[in-house]
Amino acid sequence: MDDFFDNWTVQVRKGVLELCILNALAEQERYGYDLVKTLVTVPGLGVTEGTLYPLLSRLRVARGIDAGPARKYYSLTKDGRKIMAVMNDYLETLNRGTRQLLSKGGKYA
Amino acid sequence: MPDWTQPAREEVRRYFTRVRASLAESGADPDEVIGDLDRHIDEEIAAASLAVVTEEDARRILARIGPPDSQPRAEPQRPTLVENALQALGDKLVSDRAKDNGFALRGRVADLELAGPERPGSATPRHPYRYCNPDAIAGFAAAGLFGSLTQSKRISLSAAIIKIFSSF
Repeated sequence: MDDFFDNWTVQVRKGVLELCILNALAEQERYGYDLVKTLVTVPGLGVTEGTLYPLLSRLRVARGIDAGPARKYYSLTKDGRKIMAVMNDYLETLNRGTRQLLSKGGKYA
Repeated sequence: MPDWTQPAREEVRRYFTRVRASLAESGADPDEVIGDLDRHIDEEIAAASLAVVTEEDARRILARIGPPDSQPRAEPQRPTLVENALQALGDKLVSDRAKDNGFALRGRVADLELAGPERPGSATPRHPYRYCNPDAIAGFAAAGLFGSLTQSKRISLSAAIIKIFSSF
């Protein structure tokens, strides 16, 4: 059962990592080192710097974020902001549905 | 600027080599990631106020950064039913050809025909050629019937189909 839980958490984390990065940049541009240091302390996310930098690069290649001329400051692009809004809405819908089931399941846990 | 010992430099160089290897086909830019990690390591050293960076310091920092392949991964994609069938057919092609110049294979292909009774209003009507309807196969692939394939898999799948049917 431990393996099952481990696999499940990997899948969940994989699904939300990009969304966490986009939301972390929603308010303002962030210095790369500070951005990464913030994300590695998010409870439950369980990521390291070695994981986050490739993700940041992939998001930049996909034009979701911009890394600035010296690639020290990351910011959201217009496209990144749009996809973040869509992903946030989707996650909120999923959360609402899941919470309804959790409230039922919680009675019997 | 802190002084780096040679073993410390070697430790970081080996780490970057592993990073580059692990990023192949990841969609990330290896040079960019290595540049970011290099800056991050400098920041860690500055934060720790190290005058000399030893091998032990480098190992400690790299351990905290994590292995380059620590990206959570999805389960490996399993081959689709059609990919498995094509693989089996390709294997059979070699052995049956050796036996009887390909005649047995024609029967195998007939057994493996994707065609069943034609559906009313089908967008891909049955092709008169018994063994292969390339239009239908292309249509099935475009519709995702063969599963969610990457571009490279799509190319190799197409190549396999062409190789098998061009052998008749």
